Amino acid sequence: MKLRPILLMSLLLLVIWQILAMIVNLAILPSPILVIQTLFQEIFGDLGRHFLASFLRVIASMLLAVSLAAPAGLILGQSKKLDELFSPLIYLLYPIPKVVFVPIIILFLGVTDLSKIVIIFVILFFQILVLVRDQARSIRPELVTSVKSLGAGRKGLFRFVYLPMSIPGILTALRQSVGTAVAVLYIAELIATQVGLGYYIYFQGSTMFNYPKMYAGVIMMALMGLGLYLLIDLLQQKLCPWQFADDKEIV
Amino acid sequence: MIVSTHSLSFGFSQDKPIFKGLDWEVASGERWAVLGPSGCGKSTLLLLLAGILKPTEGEIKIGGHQIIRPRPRTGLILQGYGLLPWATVQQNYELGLKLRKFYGPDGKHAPQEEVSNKVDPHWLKRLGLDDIKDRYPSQISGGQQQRTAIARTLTLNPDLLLMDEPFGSLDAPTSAALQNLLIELNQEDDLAMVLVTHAVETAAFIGEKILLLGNPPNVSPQIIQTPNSGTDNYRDTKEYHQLCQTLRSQLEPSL
Repeated sequence: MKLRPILLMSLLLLVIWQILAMIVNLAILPSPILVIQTLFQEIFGDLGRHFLASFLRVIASMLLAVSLAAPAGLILGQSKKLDELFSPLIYLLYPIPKVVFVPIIILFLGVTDLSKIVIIFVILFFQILVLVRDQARSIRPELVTSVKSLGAGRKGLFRFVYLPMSIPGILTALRQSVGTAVAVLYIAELIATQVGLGYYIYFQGSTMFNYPKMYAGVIMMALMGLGLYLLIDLLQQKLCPWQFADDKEIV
Repeated sequence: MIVSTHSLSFGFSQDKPIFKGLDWEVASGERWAVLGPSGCGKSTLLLLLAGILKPTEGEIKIGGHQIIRPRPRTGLILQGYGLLPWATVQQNYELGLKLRKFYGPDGKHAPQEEVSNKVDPHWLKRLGLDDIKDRYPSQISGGQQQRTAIARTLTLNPDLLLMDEPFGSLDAPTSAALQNLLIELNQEDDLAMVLVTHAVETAAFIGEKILLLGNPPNVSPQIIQTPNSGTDNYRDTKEYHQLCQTLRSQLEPSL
């Protein structure tokens, strides 16, 4: 997706918001101009601090999920026996909406950063695991044999076959689940925490009745989701150029 | 002898051997076609020679040494060509050299000999791939993919080239051009070749010697010598047509 149409669309949405705000004329729908002014004032203070806390939680979970789920997916995709052993478990756990684990994880891990990181991790982990596993399963045996015959051992196969093969799966999984991850982070941050965008939004809206600040928090949450999405897009273009190559030309 | 098998036996299960006590020899620079119906074990034979599969009994010597793992100077090109879909023609071409530089010829140990940093583009140019070296395999034709696989193998300076159905999915003119190219390469560099095929015409044209496999187990398969194979206009000769007919009739009972 190109950046320009996205910016134009954002502008259009802001205009619609402004018109709606003028029509309803209520405190609970402040003008976007006021909200953006508040956002710029707050971003270097309180809002920035809460945003950073949420952002770091998401990034930490993503790194943790990729570093554990990708190797596990590769191993399951390569080993029929292990795959048969773990398939029923994954089949059971995969469709469960992970958000229901939020209270349990908070009970066990408390209101720490770790509990929020673990919640997002659980969501991302299964997505990546399943996609990388399916990709590793689909790899053609003759490709592995060919690369072996060129002199590749385990390390060589990992570097030149399994690693590049798993990158698109990892990125697709992240892209599919980053929205859910941010949503669940919001839920988790509503419960018993003092720092994070979820807390900030809830606190400004329901305790302080400061609606411009609440909206500024909502915008930052949206920007975080969008920013992560764009980052994954960019990574995909950089790391997987073959997926963007033109279709077969007639030669 | 570049290849010699001594009472080679192999089977994926014990009660169904594919080869049983096979003795077979390939001299340096010889061009062999291995012909047989599907399921006869011709691809299996290739993987045994490449050191990917191991004999259940007997031994295989390549270049005088018993083969227990893939050997640096044996080139193997499988059906589907085995190109990395995420690598350009150039990157695929360099793959073997990169692997050797980092992991040594056997994939485990550090390289014994000094491997030069520079990639010699000779084979890329010779096989007409220079103009498409930045494309990905999905962007080039089947013939070009096959040539990329050949270039990738040849740049490792092999003395034995093993190919599985190299012309299987190519159109007739591309296939003929590639067959001529292989014969040229065989004659220039004294490069021994073992080509596996199910196509009688391919075997008859390209094989100086043809190993005719039948339904397993193969104990002492028939060997057919065709001294004039691969020469200009060989396809138009009576000899060639007769050979094709003989081969066809040999294959029929097992169909």
